Amino acid sequence: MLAVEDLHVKYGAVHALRGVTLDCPRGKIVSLIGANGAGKSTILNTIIGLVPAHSGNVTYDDLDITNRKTHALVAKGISLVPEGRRIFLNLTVVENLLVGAYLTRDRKERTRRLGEVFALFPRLKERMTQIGGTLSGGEQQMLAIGRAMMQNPRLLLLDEPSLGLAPNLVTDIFATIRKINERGTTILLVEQNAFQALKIADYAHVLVTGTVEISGTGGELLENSDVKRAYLGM
Amino acid sequence: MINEYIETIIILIMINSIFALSLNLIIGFNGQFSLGHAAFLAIGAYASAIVVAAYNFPFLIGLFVAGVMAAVLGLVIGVPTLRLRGDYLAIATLGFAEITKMVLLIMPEKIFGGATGIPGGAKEIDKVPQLSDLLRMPGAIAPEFAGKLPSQCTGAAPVNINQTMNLIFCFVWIIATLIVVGYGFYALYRWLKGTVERRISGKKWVLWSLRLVYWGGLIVLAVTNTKRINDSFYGVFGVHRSHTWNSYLSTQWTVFLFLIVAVLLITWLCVNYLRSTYGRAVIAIREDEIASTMLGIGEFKFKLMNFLVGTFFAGVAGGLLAHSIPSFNPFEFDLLKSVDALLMVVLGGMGSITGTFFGATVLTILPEALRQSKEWRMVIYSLTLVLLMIFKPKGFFGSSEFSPKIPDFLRRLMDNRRGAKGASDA
Repeated sequence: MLAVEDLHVKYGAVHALRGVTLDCPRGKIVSLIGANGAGKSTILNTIIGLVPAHSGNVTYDDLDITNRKTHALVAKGISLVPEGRRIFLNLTVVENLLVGAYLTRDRKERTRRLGEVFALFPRLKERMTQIGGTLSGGEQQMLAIGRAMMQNPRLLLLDEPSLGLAPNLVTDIFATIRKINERGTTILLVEQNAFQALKIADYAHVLVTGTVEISGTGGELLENSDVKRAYLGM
Repeated sequence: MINEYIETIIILIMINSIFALSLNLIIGFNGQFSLGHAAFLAIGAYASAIVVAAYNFPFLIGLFVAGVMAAVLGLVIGVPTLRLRGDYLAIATLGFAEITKMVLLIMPEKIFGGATGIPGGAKEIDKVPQLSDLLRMPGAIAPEFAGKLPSQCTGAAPVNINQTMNLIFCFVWIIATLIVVGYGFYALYRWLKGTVERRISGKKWVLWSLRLVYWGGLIVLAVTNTKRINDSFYGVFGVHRSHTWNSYLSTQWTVFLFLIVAVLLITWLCVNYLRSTYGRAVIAIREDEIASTMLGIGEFKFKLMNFLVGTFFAGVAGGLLAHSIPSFNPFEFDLLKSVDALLMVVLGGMGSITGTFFGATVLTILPEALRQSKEWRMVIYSLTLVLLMIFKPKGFFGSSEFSPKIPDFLRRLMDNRRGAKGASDA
């Protein structure tokens, strides 16, 4: 569904991605793990068009989408749940979600999706009229994912969904990601929490200073001794 | 009659409200800091004055042209500047506003009047018609009936009546009285019914007689009001066909009424706009530009669209202004004018519509109220602003709104119209 081919990204003199190639098959969960500064978030930001690619290709459904405008990509069914959530702190939960469904003109469809998101996160329904900034970290993450789901994406890019969450909430979030995937949404996940990320992944890639070092299925990587030592602390 | 000085202040309050509201759309709701809003007021004023005074177009067309011309200038200024952020945008818009002022200065003097402005140097324009000239209703009544109550006017119909306008007026008057008095009836009825239900439960006939009185009263009111158009059956609320708008409302009040309707209409448009999908996108951009891009909101497109809406209303405010002050020239629309509007927005609260009205009212009245303090006037004025900012840094209303409680029956009407989706998709 999504294919990244020999992608190079430069921030000024810093060569952040040095030829990344990866593939995201339809209906699967693909995880990217790696240390800080390995370029995980850069990959997502480049795919969605927030960061310009220096060279290389990104294709989505056989369509070259390298360096396209972000909002145009969102209209094509790619959504990014950004790092640090970036919900609208001064808007209520419902308003946040409705802004997410901005591209849908049909009121009924919007209401239907709102129902779906509330079914996915019953907690958000309880907090419907609460101001976004007053939510807890976990609820904000739910809201960020819910907001992206309001666009009914076919490909969901998740940037560090477990960032700053209590351990039991992390498990919840990953269970939800699973659930979203089971409904047919392809997921590309960037995560620090390597164990959880590999556990739910169909395929996984380990990123080291801008290149993919190890690739394989989630299970394979969990067994890989290098991965175990470097990222799982075993 | 209110004296002319107070009249001018009241008119300015309403025009400033529209002007500040249009700036609040850009600064308060979209977070784009524009410092050149006076340019759009200027364009609106010039456009309307020229179209109406030099080319004799109707006033409402003049206002529309004012809005459109301001929006066109908004497009010219917005396309290059809205890609900038924060301080850079403020400086760029400020620059463009100064350019606009200078361009107005060098335009053909015959029409634009150069440095002395309109109508000063403009040979083509003797006088810009004022709101009171433009809004004088046709169909003046005979002098002996002027200003008299319906019951004091008997005998033959006065001369000089524009029959069509008069019938329209009678009709509007009847509907208006029915609504006002009818609502009074309704409120009384609800109150009585509530009391009755609480005190004497079970006695159905009391309730029924109450209902009878209520509906009977409404029907009597409707019938008597309608009857009075064609015969001489005078009563409390009726109008006789010999009476015109002018016998009820002085031209001064017609002007106020017109401006109130204009303010309400623009407010209504703005509120609906901000509650629409477009409005939500605009507010989302204020909250977090990057996050909104990631939701598929084309950032620049919406900034520009919102800028055009804001400049259009600023142009309309300019159009109204041109017909409310005897003369104006390019120098009036300088940085200070932009800052005035900015102060109103900040004082009332960025992102609050009611706050804007509050800010516009206070900052229009304050300098006038301080006139007696002579040299100290601007010192006190500035000091007030400083104190306000220290104690109310987010403005009086922050980003919240003050809205009066809507009567039950109106609310029910609105809910019915919205149907089932109201609750979740408000």
